[in-house]
Amino acid sequence: MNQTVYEHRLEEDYNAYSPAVYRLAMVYLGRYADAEDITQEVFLRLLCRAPTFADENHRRRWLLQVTANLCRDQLRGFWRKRVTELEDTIPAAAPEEQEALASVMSLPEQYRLPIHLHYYEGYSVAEIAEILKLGPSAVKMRLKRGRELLKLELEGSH
Amino acid sequence: MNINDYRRGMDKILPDPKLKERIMKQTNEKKKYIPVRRVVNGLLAAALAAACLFTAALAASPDLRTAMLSFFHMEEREQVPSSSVTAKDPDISQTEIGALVKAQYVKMDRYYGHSGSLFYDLTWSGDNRTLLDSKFWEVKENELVPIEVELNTNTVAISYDGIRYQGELYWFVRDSQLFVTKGNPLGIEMMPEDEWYIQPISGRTDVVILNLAQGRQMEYTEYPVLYHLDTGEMEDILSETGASELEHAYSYLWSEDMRRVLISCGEGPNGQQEWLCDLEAKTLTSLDEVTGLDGEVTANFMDSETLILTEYTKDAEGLYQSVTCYSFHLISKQLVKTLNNAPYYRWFDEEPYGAMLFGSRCVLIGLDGQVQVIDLSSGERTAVEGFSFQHGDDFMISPSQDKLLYYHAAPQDIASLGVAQLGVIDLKLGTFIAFDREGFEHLQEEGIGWEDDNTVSINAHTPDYETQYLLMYQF
Repeated sequence: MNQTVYEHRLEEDYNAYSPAVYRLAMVYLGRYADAEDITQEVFLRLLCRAPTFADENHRRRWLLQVTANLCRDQLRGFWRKRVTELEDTIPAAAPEEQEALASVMSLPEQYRLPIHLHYYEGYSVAEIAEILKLGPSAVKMRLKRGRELLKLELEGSH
Repeated sequence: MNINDYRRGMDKILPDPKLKERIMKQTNEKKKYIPVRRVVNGLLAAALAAACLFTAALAASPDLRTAMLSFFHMEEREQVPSSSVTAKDPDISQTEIGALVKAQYVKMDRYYGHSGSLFYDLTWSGDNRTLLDSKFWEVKENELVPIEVELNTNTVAISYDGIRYQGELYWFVRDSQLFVTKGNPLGIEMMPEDEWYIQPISGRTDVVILNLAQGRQMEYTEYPVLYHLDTGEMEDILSETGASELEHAYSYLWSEDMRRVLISCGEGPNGQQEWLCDLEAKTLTSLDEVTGLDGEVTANFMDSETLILTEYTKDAEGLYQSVTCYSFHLISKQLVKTLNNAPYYRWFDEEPYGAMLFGSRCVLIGLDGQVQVIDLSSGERTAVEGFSFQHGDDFMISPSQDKLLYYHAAPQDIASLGVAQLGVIDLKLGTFIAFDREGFEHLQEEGIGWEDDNTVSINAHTPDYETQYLLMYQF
């Protein structure tokens, strides 16, 4: 397979998956510039390593897993910094949407990511466990605690 | 907060269009490419190597098939209820599935909490800090009967590490069991003083642990204190152990007798660290020093004096590749390897295999789908006869760790687990029975788990959200 084909595939992947990658990085890091850097690195790794995937869902999970890993490394890099909130308001977002984003972003990291992956990306407990390298029971506990902290109207809002 | 607001807000977060241009440009400049064939061959080689290792490990182990239990697939099927609610209060019905399983179906017009045989409906103030009203029901025979409880309210005010934690704690004791709760302000309204969490202690009705939390993300930390319900006094249970000096401690696993605790500290400059704290000896020792293992090791208590240690290896992508388990006796220092380099279970494989870990038990799935349950304290294996593990199958350990819930998920969409088959392995009795379920696709099943050591349950609701179901099963 030649480089052109790779790049074509990369562009397809970018169009399909970059919003999910970018959003997860935003949820993790809270800053646009950091999320862009992570997104760039994730897709370059996809290109460099050219992994084979069982299917498109597997490809998407791999991208999100790499995103989570890179974000974790990024946080290690600025260990003492405290980044918990979206740095700016989201264009065209209604006040209740801003508030909802801020609520999730204010959760501790261990609850924030499972909540995002489950209730925004629609991943199951087992899938989140694999993406975040956690045991399923840990994911369930974190989802439960995250829900409790947010008092989300989750059950009635799928 | 409504999650749909979050979803709509998140939909508006998109990468800058220039980012794509930047990435595509960078790919032209300096990236190298690995031929697909090489990657595929590499993956195949890795998979074959893992398979060979696993097969060899199975063949070489002298402990194999020291015990055996048989899978019994019941002919009778469950007819899962799915009708909408008619009564205002919760109602309950019972049935038997093939004379081997008792099922109880609790149907509710909205969500009620439950704990054991107790159901409750709590009304909180707008900020979710204060309990305004409470109603309780108990399951008696085939009915949910309203009951009165003597609800106590404690005002908590604890100063620790510069934060004055406060709020109200509500509790009562019924049938020698403690029920306890607190308000949880909305995330956006949560103040530092709100961040304390209750952790009940098994067998105790006079005290609870309060985990005092602070910080965000990598700086998140918790510190546990003992709280006496009758007097409202706080006791620094870890005083003089040095545990309060640990940075970013976020998880505390207690031994049953509360004499020891395993403490996990966050990924700081020195990486993840695990500590063992002995409350009587007032010692705090890193886990690798205690055990002599220096890899990536996690631990949990088998009993008050025995740890189950798990050691992982990772592949180039950082994914868990294999697991090795040990039983470690804290007094004699005896270290016994009970699982040797088994492939780590990867659920997303087409035909998943490997080791699923559940505390002191391991479910080991072979390449051929054959299943063994391993006691990680002794290494003793129990083979499951007549059962072949398939994609969608899963297990969950019971509180006593003597039983395994089995279910096969066949979800129609992401909104439901879609439990098509349900069963239990009883390791003490040496039985494994399961039945098929019909009509599950008419409900959206949100959760499955153990209520207690004899009861498994499924939380579900109708697609219109008008009716909630709690489906409970005793095998």
